[in-house]
Amino acid sequence: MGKLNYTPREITHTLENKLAVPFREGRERVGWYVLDGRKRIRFRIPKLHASWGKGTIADIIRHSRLAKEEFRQLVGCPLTRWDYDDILRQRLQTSD
Amino acid sequence: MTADETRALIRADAKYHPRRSRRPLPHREADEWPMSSWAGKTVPELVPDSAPIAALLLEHFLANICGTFEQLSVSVSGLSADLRALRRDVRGIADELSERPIVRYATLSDLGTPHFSLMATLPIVIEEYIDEVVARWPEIEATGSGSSEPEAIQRLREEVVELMNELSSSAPEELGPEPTQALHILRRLVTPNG
Repeated sequence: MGKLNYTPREITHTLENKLAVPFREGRERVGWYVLDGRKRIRFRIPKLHASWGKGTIADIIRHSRLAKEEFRQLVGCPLTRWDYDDILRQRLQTSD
Repeated sequence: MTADETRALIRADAKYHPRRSRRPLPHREADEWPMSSWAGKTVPELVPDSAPIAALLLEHFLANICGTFEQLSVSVSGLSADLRALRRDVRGIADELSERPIVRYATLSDLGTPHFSLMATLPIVIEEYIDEVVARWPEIEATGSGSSEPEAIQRLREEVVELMNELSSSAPEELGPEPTQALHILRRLVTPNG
């Protein structure tokens, strides 16, 4: 249950396609996840061909505000984007 | 029960188990019987023409031993299953622990660029994974990673500067509460030079 053995392609595909994070290119790829019209979570991921260490993957999971099992469901399809939005609305700040 | 009745009973038992050998045993003195020769023999074969009560007692004793061995084998099977489950659990825990980093705390006193200065030292977290080192400033969720601690810290410096520039150039209404708070902290602790 605790293994951080995701492929870069799986995580990139999930963030780009399922969550529709618009990444900009640079040394690394950086993009904001927009919730309810405002930037909420900044994702920073290495390029596909670069090295993805366990720390990088753990950091992506931490930024996503999901537990390891929830992230597994996000990558593995049971958790939809709308489910993810609902989770974020509960866990992120609600006031400015 | 008379001796003849007992013998008849034992003989009936021997008939009920036709596979058992009916070869007559060689004559031996009592202290010449090896234990291994008792295996597979019926009671009448073991104690021919002996006291029938002793034969019944011996049969009862052997039945108890068999029952005890059966209970022991069930216990051993259960123990083996428990050991397998325990081995799986230990392996799972070892895998879980191998993915947890060694955590240290440090401070950042400079951003390594002439364009920005720090107004105070920043508390940062160093996480050493098996294949990577990650440096974090948890307050604004800035992270830098590398194959060594100096590399991770340098990447963190760059990330702080990049985040400062990015948030400063964004319209306030575009930012949610978290990036707005991060920008507030950055403006308090990071000042542009010149």
